[in-house]
Amino acid sequence: MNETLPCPNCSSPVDIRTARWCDCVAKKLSVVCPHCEACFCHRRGYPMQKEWTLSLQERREQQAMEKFRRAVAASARTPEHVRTVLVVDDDEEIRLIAEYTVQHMGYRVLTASDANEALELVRRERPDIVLTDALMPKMDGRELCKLIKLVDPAIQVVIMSALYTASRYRNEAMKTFQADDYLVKPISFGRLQEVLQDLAVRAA
Amino acid sequence: MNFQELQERFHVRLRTRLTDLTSLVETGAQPEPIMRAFHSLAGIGGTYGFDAITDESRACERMCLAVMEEGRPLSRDERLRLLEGIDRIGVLNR
Repeated sequence: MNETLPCPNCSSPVDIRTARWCDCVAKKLSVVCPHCEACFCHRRGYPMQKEWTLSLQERREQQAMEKFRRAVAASARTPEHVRTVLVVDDDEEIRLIAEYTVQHMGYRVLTASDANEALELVRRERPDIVLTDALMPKMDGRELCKLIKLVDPAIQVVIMSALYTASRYRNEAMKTFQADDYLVKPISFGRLQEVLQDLAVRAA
Repeated sequence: MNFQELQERFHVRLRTRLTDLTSLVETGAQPEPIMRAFHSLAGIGGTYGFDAITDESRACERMCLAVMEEGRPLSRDERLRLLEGIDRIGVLNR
């Protein structure tokens, strides 16, 4: 199949393997021309080209298959490679439920009630993932994230915070403090599982 | 401990939390410690599967936040509304 097609708007060649996907209509699959930035989802007279759709569909399937393979590889590790998750929260109730859930997902779990205890465990045990509350006394979870990355940048950090702080902290946590992901409290365990699996895939 | 035992433990400990929260509202008019207590409760309730507790706590938390933004202490009326919120959470906990 030809993977370079002329853009219907500016006629420049568009490599559909590297072109950015158009995300203006979730149900359609189309690409954005890198030369004129035109999106063709709604443009009259430029119906979706069948071969673009097919190629993109294939690309999406390939990506999904690749992600699945990596997830299987990550979960098929031997017991000595069971990933360790450190849960940091000043609230005992959250530590207990998170410990219970993460353990049931097949991880080894460590817990800490504050950032100092967490840093001590990070240095000693080198967990694979740290789940930390954002607002804690003594040291904020985002500051902790920064310090963990200084100890070992390979440790993946997920910051947990309540809904109203999400929009305020999300960008800052991910960009300034280099958090790997973000969980909104109250924690949904489906989402927690999704995040942990995603981190396993990224680590693999 | 299984999940049901954890939930039962949460119910028992919530009674203590609510007693502490009641005395906090009755004795102090500063909104920040009260907001923090409700904030914490909002995060925990839904995590244990009790979304209604989260919703009620979140409403009280928001009330405290609004007062904090105005930079004033809680009024008598606002404290009464917070106490009503605590009562409703207590009812949800039964």
